[in-house]
Amino acid sequence: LLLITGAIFLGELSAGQEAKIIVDLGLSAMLLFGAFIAIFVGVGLVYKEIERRTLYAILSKPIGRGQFLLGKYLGLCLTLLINVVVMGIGVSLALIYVRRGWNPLALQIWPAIFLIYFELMIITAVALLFSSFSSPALSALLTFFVFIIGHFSADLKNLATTANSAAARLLFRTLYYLLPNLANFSLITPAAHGVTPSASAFALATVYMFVYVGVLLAAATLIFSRRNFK
Amino acid sequence: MKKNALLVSAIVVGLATVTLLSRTIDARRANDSAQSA
Repeated sequence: LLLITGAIFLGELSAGQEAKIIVDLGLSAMLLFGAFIAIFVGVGLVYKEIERRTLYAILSKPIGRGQFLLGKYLGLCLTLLINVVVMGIGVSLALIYVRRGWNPLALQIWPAIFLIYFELMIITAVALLFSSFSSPALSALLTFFVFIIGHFSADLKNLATTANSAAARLLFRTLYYLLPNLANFSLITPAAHGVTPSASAFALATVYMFVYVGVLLAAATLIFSRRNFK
Repeated sequence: MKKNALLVSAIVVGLATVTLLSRTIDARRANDSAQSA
C-alpha cells in the first residue's frame, strides 16, 4: 500500500501518465511481494512442521499426507488471495483518487489481478513441491529459478527453434512445455493501457493453472508419502 | 501401491494436458498477432 501511495506521487511527476504508472507499479509490486510470500512462506510450510515435530501429532490423526499438503497449500493460497485483493483495492482507489472521479481502469485491471493471483498459486505449489524433499534454502532457490525461467519461457521456445543440435532443440522444447509458462499470466503492461484479456484467453489460463497445480500437488504428495520420518 | 500408481497417472495425464493447453494458447496468440498485424 505504501508503494501504491508512492506510485501516486511518481505519477504526479509524469506528464498525464499517472494512471499507467500507478497500474504498472501497483501490479508489479503485487506480483513481486506475492512471489516473495509464496516462495519464503511456501518453502517453510512442511519443513517447520517436521522441525518442530508437530507433523507427528498431525499425521497420527486420521489425516493422509496428501490431505496435509493440500491443507497447507490452500491455507497459503487464502493468505495470498487476501493480500492480492487488498492491494488490488488499493490500486483501484489510487486510480479513482488521481482522476478525482470514476476511472474505468479501476475495474479493467481486475482480470490482470486475478491472473497474477493464479501465477502466485502456481509458485506456491512449486515451493511446496520442492519443500517436500529438500531444505528451505535450496527450495527457495529452486522456486526462484522456476519463477524466473517461467517468465522467460518465450526464450526457451526461441532456443527450441534456433538451436543447431536436434538434441538441444528437443531439450528446450521439453523444458518449454514442462516448466510453468508464467508469461500466460503476465498482463501488467496491457492492463496499464486498459486492455483486458478475452474471456477465452482468461479461461484457458485458468484451466492451465488448475491442471498445473494439480500436477505439482500430485508430485508433492507422491514424494512426501514416500518419506520416512522415523 | 495403488495410490502411487494413481498419482503417477494423474501426473502423466496432467502434463499431457498442460502441453496441449500450452500449444492451444500459443496458437491463439499467433492467430491474434497475425490478425492485428
